This record gives sequence, structure tokens and C-alpha cells, in this order.
Amino acid sequence: MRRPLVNVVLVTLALVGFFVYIGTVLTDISGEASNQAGAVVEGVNPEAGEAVFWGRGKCSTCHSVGSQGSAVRGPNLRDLFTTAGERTKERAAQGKTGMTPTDYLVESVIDPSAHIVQGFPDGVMPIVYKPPIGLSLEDVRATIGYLQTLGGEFDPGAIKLPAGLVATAAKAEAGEPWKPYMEGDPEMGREVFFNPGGAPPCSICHIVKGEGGVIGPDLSTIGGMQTPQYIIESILNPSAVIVAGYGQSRIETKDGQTKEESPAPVSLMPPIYAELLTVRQLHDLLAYLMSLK
Amino acid sequence: MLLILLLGWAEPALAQELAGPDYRTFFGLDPRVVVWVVAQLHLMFGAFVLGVPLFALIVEVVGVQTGEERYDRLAKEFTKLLSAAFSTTAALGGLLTFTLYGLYPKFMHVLTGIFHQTFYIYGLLFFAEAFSLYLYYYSWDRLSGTRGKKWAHVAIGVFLNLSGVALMVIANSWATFMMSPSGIEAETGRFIGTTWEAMHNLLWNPLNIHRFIANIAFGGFVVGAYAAVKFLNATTDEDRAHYDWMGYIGNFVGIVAIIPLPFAGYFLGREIYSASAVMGNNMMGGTFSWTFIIQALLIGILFIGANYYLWTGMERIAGAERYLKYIKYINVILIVSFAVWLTPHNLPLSPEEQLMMGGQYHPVLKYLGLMSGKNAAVNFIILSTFFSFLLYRRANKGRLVPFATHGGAAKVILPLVAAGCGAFLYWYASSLFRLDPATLELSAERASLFQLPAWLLVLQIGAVVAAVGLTFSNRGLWGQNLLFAVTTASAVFVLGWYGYVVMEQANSFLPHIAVVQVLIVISCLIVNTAIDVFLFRGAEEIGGIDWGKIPARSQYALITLCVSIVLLMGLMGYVRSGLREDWHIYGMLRDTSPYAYTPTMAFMAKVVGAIVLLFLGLITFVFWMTGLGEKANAKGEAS
Repeated sequence: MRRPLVNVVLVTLALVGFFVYIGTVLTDISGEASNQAGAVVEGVNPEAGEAVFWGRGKCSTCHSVGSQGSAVRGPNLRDLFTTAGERTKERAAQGKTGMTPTDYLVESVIDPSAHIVQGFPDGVMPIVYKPPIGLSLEDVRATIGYLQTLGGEFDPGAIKLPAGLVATAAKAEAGEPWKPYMEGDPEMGREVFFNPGGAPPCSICHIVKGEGGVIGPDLSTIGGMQTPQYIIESILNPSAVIVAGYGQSRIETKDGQTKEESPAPVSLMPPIYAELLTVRQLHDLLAYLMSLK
Repeated sequence: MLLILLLGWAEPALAQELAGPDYRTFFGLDPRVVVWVVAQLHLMFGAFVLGVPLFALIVEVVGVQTGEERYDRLAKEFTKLLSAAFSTTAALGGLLTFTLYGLYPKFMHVLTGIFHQTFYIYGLLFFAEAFSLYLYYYSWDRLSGTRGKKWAHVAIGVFLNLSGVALMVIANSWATFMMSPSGIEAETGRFIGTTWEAMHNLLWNPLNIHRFIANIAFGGFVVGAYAAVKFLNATTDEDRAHYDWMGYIGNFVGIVAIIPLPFAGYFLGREIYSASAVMGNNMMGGTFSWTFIIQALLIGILFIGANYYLWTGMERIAGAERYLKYIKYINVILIVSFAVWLTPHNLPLSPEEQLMMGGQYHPVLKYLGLMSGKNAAVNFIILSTFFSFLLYRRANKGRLVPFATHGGAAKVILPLVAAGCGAFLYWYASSLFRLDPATLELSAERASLFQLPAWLLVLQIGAVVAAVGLTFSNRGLWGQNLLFAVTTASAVFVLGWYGYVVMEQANSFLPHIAVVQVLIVISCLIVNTAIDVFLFRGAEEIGGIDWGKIPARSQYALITLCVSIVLLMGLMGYVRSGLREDWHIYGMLRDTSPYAYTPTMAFMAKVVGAIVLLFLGLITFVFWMTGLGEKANAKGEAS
């Protein structure tokens, strides 16, 4: 190839390489990769609410909390619970009497236009339990629980969502039955269980009809005992539910003596299968396990 | 054999249930990446075949008007590249359709239900574009010789462009409906509207404008790179001169389009906020905000690269040495503004790092990372690039002809342009004077904050009138300088600072500041361009432009511009589509496949990088094939 053409190719490759490098660097400094790999916190508690606030709830794209975050579109939520106490007086003056600070937080999340803080426009905050954010009511309760801790104490009993909203959500949740993303092949799934190639076989720890190890629970009749959702969760996130008798114990010693013995919330099963199995293999394995009855 | 295979496959296919799966994989591969690659390649080729005819036609019209045959030859050469790339675009469009229907059947079922009428119109327009393109290219020689024939040929070109733009507009309606669906029942999320309502969604026109301008810039810079490669491999002075000139035209087209592009981008971004605050916040303050650092980097490369090419090009223009002294100042402005634009508001820091810096934000840099600082910087970059371009234009021009000797057109058009700009500025100023603070949830006393930007618009009207007045009294250069000075002072310095004041005291008014900046800068660009066109008409030429005598490094600047804009298109294509996150149609049809997550920027950069290399490889191959015919013709003529 002639020299100018080689130079043109080199300039092109250098620019594209620089672009890829910048993308990689930004992934590192933004903490994006670790956010995606982070543990999922669930339930109605401040930790789960904090995860929703700074994550899929997208609250932090408008609100900062003290010096945490940089968004300025919505009010800063520093000492929010204290502020909420003052706002209940404003609401009382506007005719809505008898509100507690938590009631004000609930109102602000469920019906953001009910009271607008001066200097901030109306109609900007979305209804978080509707699309596109679409938080579950459990997420909403958890988030309000987190907001209570900003200047106050977590008090789940004080979080009272509107009855109509709860009824609608319950109706929606009882809607379509769950179905897998794709149909799996039980025969292929058996191969994945005993000899997956590239991933440690499940049979190292689990026994099926006399074949396999005994470190984990016996799966000979798992298909008749559990739902497919439970099985998928157990494969992808083994620590979500730990079967009694198969948990780990953490023993902390001081001066050579046992001080405390408590179950650790981490399963012995490594959380590696989400990475190692393909989508096809996961569904084949699910089909095999569901066939064990 | 094919028939037997098809018959063999037909039976199980017919036996399938009518209600098939929602998603399929592509032979076990991630279907999302497959659609991403094919769609982006189709968009890149589409941008090229839609952008190039626009300026090919303009170049042809210039040739007809001036009678200079070189413009006609250049327009034909552009069209030759176009006809070769057109079939690749169509093939990729077909592949995209098949992959979408094959891999996302449920989503396409929904989209087809809403838009199927437009599909037929799209198909007919495709015929119209294909036929007019080939007619435009193959009738070039037949429809030449007389002005009448040339205008008939130009009319075919106009029809070609109208068909192309109509095609783009229809396809844009599908893409924007996915982002901001209209005609949706609020309670159930079902589509209950008409096809027209679905097309005429909130983001349709902003995207139409943005893509129309971006396609021209894209086409210009790709053609510039084609000319650069030809220049670097040219063996004769004649070829070098021709491709130098072609590269200049490509870069000229690219710059002319890229200067207003940030404004169109701002309009699109603003409407994304209007369509969904969640999507808007996610774009600028959430997951996607980091991608805008890469965007700023690429746009910075484009502006600095385009300026560098102009400055290098001035080396081959006699008389340009008078202006070279300004380049170092423009360079400093570009680099400082670029640095401000790149400055992030905050970075994820460890507690130790925060302690060293005295808090989460740097005491000075935190201001530069905010929108006010960035808006001021981008306006300064645009004004500096425009200034560079004016210097290039006047590089070999000497004594001016008195304005009074220009024809009636100048005396009519210039005041009309000024009046149009003035009317627009006045309209926005009067709306600010009348703005009710309650509509922005602000107390009555905050209305005083609206006064300064409104008065700056009035000042700009005064500057526009003064600039035109000075031009009429044969002091056009003074007029241009005055307009530049007032614009820079108002849009960059005063409003750059005032943005922080507004952010502190009346945050909801902040978007109006950006609009005022845009209007002031645009009025300066339009009026100063109009003055420049008439000012230098018939001016004394100090020396000619020595085409072909440009340093080789300038051609690598053209290559850099091309690669950068292709990367930019790949990046912004990802952002626009990715903003929907786990929704096929935002808020209406959720993506329930296992691939409904936002990939990391590292992954995005690898995929986009691969797409860019694929596109550049494919288009190089297409251009090479075009050259094969050329060589064969040359050999035939020689023998």
C-alpha cells in the first residue's frame, strides 16, 4: 500500500482507538460498571430507598441531598424531614390540616403538583409509580422511608399511601402470568447441569436422583416444589433466599475464643452463573430443573 | 437448490402458532447489538445520500449562474459518489427491516399497526428518489449545453432533494414516536390516535431540523475526506489542484452546516425535556450525561480541525499574511472555550480527594461545569470559527468597491435581512418584557431578572441596524466589527455571567437565557454573512489562490474531520436511542427482553468504534468501485 494511504488508515485507527479509550476511562471514573454489578437491595427499608433514590427512581437527576449530588432542578433535600414539618404548617394554612411530616413526604412523591416549592416550576416532577419510571409501591415506600431519614427517623408505620393507589397496584400485579423469555430444552439443560463446559457444573454441589454432590440442597424434585421465578432467582442471585441448613456461619473470635456465631447473608453458591451462562443455557437449565418432579 | 431449501423450511414455519415469541436472538447473538449495528450503518449511509444531493445541487446552480464549468464538473463528481452509495443505503435499509421484524416481532407488530399507511408512502417516495437520482446523474451530459437544459436538470435535482427530505421526515416520525409517543390514552397506555397524530409527535420537527443540518455537515466532511485521499495520491498538479478545491468545498459545506448545528441540538434537547422531564434529566444529569463529555470532545475536534484547515489553506492565498496574526488569538479562544466545555461539574471522588480539594466541588471549576459556562463557551467557539471563516474569505481581497455602486439587490436584501433578524429579536424581547413570573413559579419581584436579557436583545437590534447603516455608508468592515463586538460581549460575557445569577435566584428562568444567547449569536451570523457577501463583491484581488499548493498535513485535518463526525453520529445515535432505556416506545411498550439495560460507555465505545470502521471501510469500497469505472473510461479514451 502507498505511504499516504497507510497514514490515512493510521490516523483513522488512532482516532477510533482514542474514542474507545475515552469510553473506557469514563466508565472507570463514573463508577458505571460497579453500579451495574452492585448488589440489589430490596424491601421497605432506608437502604433500599436510598438505592432507588440514586438509581432507577432517578430522583437524583433533579434533587441533591446536602453536598451529595449536583442536581439543581428540584429543591435540595438536606434535612428534608425537618423541612417537611415546616411545610405541614404551610399546607394547613392552605386548608390541608392534620398532616404529619411523613404525610407531606407521601403527598410530594405521589402528587407532586399538590404543593410547589417557590422558585421551582410545576409539572416537571413525574408521577414515579407510572411510566416511564414505573416504581412499584414497595419502591415508593422504601424511598419515602429513606427521605424520612434525612433529618428524621425511619418510621415505616407512618407511611400511608392512598388506598385507591394500593388497590390499583394490587389489581395490576395480579395480571398476566409469568412466562420465560424463551422455551428451554430439558435435554440440553441436563448437559448444562452435569457438564456445561466453561462453567463449574451444578452437580458439583447439587444431587439429582443419586447423581452429584451434597454441599447444596437435593434438587431431585425441585420442579414440583418451586416456581420457575424462584429457580431463576436462585441461579442468578444465590444469596436472595438461602435454604435452611445450607447457609454459612460467620464465627468471630477474640483472644482465641468464640464471641459470636451468626448466619451470614451470603450463599455458599458463587454468583457467577449470570456471567457464565448464555441466555439459551439458562433457559435450558430451567426447563431441566422444572422437569424434575 | 434454493427452492428445495425454501420448501423444506416452509412446513415448520406454517405449523407455527400465530402468536409467536416477543423476541428472538440472531443465531444466538445479542439481537440488540445486531439491530444497533445495522441501523447505525443505514443511518450513516442515509445521511450521506441525503446530505450530498443538497450541496451538489447548490454547486450546480452556482455553476449555471456563474458560467464556470468547474462547478458543474464538481457537482457531477459529488453525484457520482452518491449513486454508488445509494444502493448500499437501500440494501442496509432492507437488512434493518428484516432484522427488526425477525428479532423484535411484537414491537414491530405494534409499530406496524400504527404506521403501516406511512410505509406505503415511504415505498413510493423511495421509487421517486431512486428514479430521480439516476435520472439526475445519467442525464447530466444530455441536459447540458443551454441554460434551458441546465435548469431542467436542476429541476430534477430539486425533485431528488424533495423526495429525499420527505423520506427522511417519514422515517424520523417512527423514531421520534418511540421517544415521545402521541395519541396515547393516559390511563391504559394504549394508542388511540390517528397515524398523523403519531407522526406529528413533539420531537418530530426538532429531529427533522437537526438531522437535515447534520446530514449536510456529514456529507460535506465525508466528501472532504474523499478529496483528501485523492489529493494525497494524486500524481499530477492538475489533479492536486482539483482535489484541493474539492476538499475546500467539502470543508466549507461542513463548516456552514456545523455552525448552526449546536443550536438545532439545543432545540432538540430542550424539546426532549418538554416531552419527558425524566428522559431530559437522564440525558443531561443522569446515566447519559457522561456521553456528552465525549460529544464535547468530538465537537471540539471538529471546530478546531475545521479552523486548522482554514488557517493552513491561507498559506496558499496571496494576501492572507495580513490576517495570520489573528490566528494565535483565535486559537487561544478555541482552546480555552473547549476546556470550559469539557469541564465536568463534579467527579466521583474518594473522601481523601474531597478533603484535598476542600469539598465535593472544586472552588472555581464547579462554575465552569454548569450550563451557563458551557453555553458561553460554545457560543464563543461558534463566533470564533465564523470569524476564521470570514478571514479566509477576505484573505486575497484588497480595496473594496463602494457600497453605493452595488446593484439594487444589495440595497434591498441587506435591509430585509436586518429587518427579519430585528423582528425576531424584538418578538422575543417583548415576550420577556411581558413574562409573568407566576408562570415560572416565581414571586413578582423576580420579574426584574427578566429585564437584562430583554434589553440585550434590544441592544442587538440596535447593533444590527448600526452595522447595516455603516455598510450603506461604505464602512461595512466597521459595521461587521461592531456587530461582532456587541454579540460577543452580550452572548458570551454578560449572559455567561448572568446565567449564574439567574441559576441562584430564579432557576426556572434559566432556559430563556440560553434562547437569548442563541438569538443574539444567530442574528450576528446572518447579518454579518449578508454584509460580507455584498462587501467583497467586486473587490480588488491581491493575488490568486494557488490550488494544489496546500501542505499535506491539511489533508489529514480533513480525514480527522470526517472520522470525528462519523464517530459523533455514532455516539449521538446511541444516546438518542438509549435515552428510552427499557422502553421500545417510551412509556407505552416496555422492552422485556434480557437486553433491556443500558450498556456501559466502554461497551458503547467499542460497538460505535466498530460501526465507524465498518462504515468507513464500506464507503471506501464503494468509492473504489466508482473509481474502477473511471479508470476503464480513461483507458478506453486513451486507446
